[in-house]
Amino acid sequence: MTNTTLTTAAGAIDAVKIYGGGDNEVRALDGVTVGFEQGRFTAIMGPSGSGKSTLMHCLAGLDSLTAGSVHIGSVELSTLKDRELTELRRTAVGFIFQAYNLVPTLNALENITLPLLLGGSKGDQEWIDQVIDTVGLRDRLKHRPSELSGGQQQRVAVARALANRPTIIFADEPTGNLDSRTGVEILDFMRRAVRELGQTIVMVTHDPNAASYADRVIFLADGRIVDEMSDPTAERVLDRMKRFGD
Amino acid sequence: MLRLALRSVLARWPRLVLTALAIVASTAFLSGTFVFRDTIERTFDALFADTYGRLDAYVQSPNTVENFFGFEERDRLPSSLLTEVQAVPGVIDAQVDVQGDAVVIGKDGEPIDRPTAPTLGASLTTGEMSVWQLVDGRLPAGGEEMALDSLTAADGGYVLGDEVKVNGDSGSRTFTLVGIVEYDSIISPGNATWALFDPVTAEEYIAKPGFVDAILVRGDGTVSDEVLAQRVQAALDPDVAEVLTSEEITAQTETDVEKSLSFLTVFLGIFSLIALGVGMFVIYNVFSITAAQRQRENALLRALGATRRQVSRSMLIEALVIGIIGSSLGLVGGVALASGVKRLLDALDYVIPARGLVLTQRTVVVTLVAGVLASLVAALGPAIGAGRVPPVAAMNDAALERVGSVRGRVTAATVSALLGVGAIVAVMAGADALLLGLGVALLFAAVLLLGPVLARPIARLLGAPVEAVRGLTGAMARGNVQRNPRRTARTAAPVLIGVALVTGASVFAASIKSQIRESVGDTFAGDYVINSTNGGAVSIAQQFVDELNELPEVGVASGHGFARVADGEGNAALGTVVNPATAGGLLNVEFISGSLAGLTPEGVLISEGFSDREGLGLGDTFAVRLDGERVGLVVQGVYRAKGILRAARIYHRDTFAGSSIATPAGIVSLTRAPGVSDGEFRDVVGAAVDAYGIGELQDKDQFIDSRADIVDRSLAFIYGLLFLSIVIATFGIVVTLLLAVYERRRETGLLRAVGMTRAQVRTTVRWESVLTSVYGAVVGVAMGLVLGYVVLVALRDEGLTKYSVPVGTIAWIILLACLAGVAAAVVPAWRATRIDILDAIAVDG
Ligand SMILES: Nc1ncnc2c1ncn2[C@@H]1O[C@H](COP(=O)(O)OP(=O)(O)OP(=O)(O)O)[C@@H](O)[C@H]1O
Ligand SMILES: [Mg+2]
Repeated sequence: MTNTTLTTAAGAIDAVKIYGGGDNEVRALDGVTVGFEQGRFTAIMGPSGSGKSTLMHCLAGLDSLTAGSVHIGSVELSTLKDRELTELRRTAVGFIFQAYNLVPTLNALENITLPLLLGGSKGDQEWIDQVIDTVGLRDRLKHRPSELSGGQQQRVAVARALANRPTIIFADEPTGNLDSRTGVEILDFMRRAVRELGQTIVMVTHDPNAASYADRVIFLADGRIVDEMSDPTAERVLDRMKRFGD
Repeated sequence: MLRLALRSVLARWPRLVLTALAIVASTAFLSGTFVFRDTIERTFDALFADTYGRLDAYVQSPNTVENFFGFEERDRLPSSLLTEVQAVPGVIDAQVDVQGDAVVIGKDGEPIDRPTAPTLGASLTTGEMSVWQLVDGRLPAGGEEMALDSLTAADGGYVLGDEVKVNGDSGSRTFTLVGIVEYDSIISPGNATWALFDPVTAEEYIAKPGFVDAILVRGDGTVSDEVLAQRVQAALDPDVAEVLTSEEITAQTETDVEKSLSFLTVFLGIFSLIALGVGMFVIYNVFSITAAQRQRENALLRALGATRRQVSRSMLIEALVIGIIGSSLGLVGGVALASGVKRLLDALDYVIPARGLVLTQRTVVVTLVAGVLASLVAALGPAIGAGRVPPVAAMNDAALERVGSVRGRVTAATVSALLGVGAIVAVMAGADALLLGLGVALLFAAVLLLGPVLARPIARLLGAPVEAVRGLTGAMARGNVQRNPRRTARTAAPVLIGVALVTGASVFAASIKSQIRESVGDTFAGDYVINSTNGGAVSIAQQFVDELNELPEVGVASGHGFARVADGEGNAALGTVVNPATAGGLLNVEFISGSLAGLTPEGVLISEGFSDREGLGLGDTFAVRLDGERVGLVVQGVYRAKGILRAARIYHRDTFAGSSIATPAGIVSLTRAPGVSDGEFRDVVGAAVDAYGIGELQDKDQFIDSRADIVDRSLAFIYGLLFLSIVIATFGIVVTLLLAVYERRRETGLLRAVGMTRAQVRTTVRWESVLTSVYGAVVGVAMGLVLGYVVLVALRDEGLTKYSVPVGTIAWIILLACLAGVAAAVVPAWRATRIDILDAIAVDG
């Protein structure tokens, strides 16, 4: 266990998350132990309501566990106060959501550098240039989100997640709102960010095709990890998914 | 649909109550004004009904002189009529009634006066017609004795047998206190100080020998009041005296009370309306935002088959609820306000002998109707707009307010501005001053119409320094202000209106002040002034001026008074009354012909303007009415009216010697005798003034300052009332921000998720608020400067030629707007930091 902690970017140990109480009690996470290795692209899959978003929110410090622990890098999140958690999110975590990823009053560049601006730091200009070029947004930097297409907006969101070189990036159905071609584009960026820039990404998805871009797939059902798969292909993932119906 | 509307009202009740606050203040003010007015009116009516109920008939002069603000002042009556009245069959008792100004000087040498209450000297009526009850001692008799009301006696530290100093229009005298009186349970009616004398002394000392104010008549019971009054009238010349029954004089006094209170009501009513208008803006804004936020919900209702009318109606029901909540709270608040004001006045020693607060049906109805109507009218536009939402909007998720065509706005604003400027120019060219109000309203309309167009660039400008200082949070605040310029403009509009009015008032005040400074400096040539106009209504007797002239330290002392005298046609005008023998070197008057020194009691000096208007020239006769008689005065000079000597006529003080008109000096100007030092002069003359008891010795600069200060004091009240609108406007910002915070909860959640701290969230909201209110303040100040200028130009015939901008006051106003912005942001900012990140970023949130 100690070993895993050292080599993983983030992880959870015996994570339990219970919503409500009494008759309404829902065990969204029911003892999840998982680690996400550095420089790897992991997909989380599972039926609706299986606890994927919950796991991610808890890992990212957006929500707290009922029992168990999560860590990012070597930091145990349950020990942190709100201010420290905020600081951690700003510096060590990147986010990509399904929708509503950008601040409408800021232009593309400001959105990309938002976590840095919030922290009052200039960041690593070379790195940011590299990120911008990787996502191919150089000629759109002065545009507001409303002047960008859905795919471009999502690329800005990916760039923002990369901008502060976080320890780990969480993406919750990042391609859920996009057509398949644009979705592929985004997934490609994410894979390149892992391969070429050495990022760690955890992505929740329902799409076996999207999962096939990952290095590893974790399957969740009823709040537990029920399976995992390395170097997935869309067919194998689809096969595995079908078995949930049984 | 009604059920749906009510359900939605219930679901949103906190916001409704908050919105209702926008009209609570104004309706409270409105109802408070009514309650206060009715309470005072009923109290005084009861007082007068009681006073005059003791009489059967009342004899007064038929001649009145119009005073300020439409009040009338009645001429005095020859006292010789008394014997004629007494001889009328059926009259069992007739006594003269005298009332005038007289200040009682306390044992400590300071005049006893209570703020805003009169200092009266009067005849003490005896027998059944008297309202007074002797509580100690006996009735005064003869020129050496007096009585005091018990409150004044206590205030002055006087007991029976004490020598009491009294300063009246005809001089300073000392009387022996022989009686202490009270009026029923009310110790001192009207809270006045009462110095009471026997009728003969009162006539001679308080009025003028030969004149009294009225004759009080009681019948022997054999005939009705009407018959008695007719009989008395038959015995008297109707040009000299008119006789009223007890009922008629009571009614006349009640009308007078009503008239004086109607001034108060109209004045305060205007401020209530301004406040209500500001509140309407707030409601309009809230409903506009709500309509935008509920666009999807409304579109869904429309898609499911609701008619436009149903959608609109459900919003109007909310407005109705807001109106009812707001005006009901306002009504309660108004009663509380009135009782608070009364308590405050009590504490200030201004005891209104009130018998409890009066809440009439009219007050309730007017307040509720005003509040509900204001709310409904304000919500009408947004409600109709909400009904027009196309059903397909249910499928889109952008809840953006449509921005109307900029060109249309600019056109409308330009037309409105041009019409406004046209109206103002017309007034300057001599059109009716009422057009001025229209012109100003049109200018306001133009600015408000332009608001959405102006908001973006102005916010960008104002936001630049904020962004420079606060970095990202500043930039985001600025972005939020700019993102919906229509909303920003609407939110800032109430601030704008309030600030424009405050600024306009302060420009007006500053201009008057600098005018006063200049003209007082120009007009008064003396070294010193004894100023009696700051303390109370009572002026300095000429007798005291004569005494001053005898002091070796004084070069010359001359008293200047003011008299409102009717001309031959009965039209009253204010004139300056001087003593030409002494005034010459002390008043700078620019003469076209004639001179101050050449003025005799049979003559008059008139202003150039008056001369032109009336076609009067040197040697012509100008008639005035003195005690009902036309007296011809010869025009002995024409001068340029300016500064303090703006009055159209200057009279010789002896012109009034034989009449009932008293001409005490409001101001005495003095020069120092050669070789006397400032210190010596102040010692001697100061001591004389202290001994006299009234007035304050000031050098010219002090005098100029004190004249200018009067303006500030009279404006303080108006400032206070106008700030009320700014407070309401601040409420508007609070509600708008709360709605904006709610609307942007996902954005805020996202920002929090990527690492924005709570403090940064707070800062963003705070700066948004400050930028909005400062935007309103900046445009409002600009409007106010124009407003002040327009008012001054309209009044330039009154001698106002200075335009001065009170930079300090304006800086304060802007600072205040910043603070209002910070204060308005407290709750919304707190709400923003409480936003749950997970809720906010949930996809279907
Ligand atoms: N705030 C909450 N209160 C109560 N129950 C909750 C809450 N959030 C999630 N749940 C429950 O927890 C369980 C897991 O939810 P979660 O959102 O993690 O599922 P998911 O795997 O992300 O599903 P989907 O694929 O539909 O997004 C579900 O049964 C859900 O109903
Ligand atoms: Mg989910």
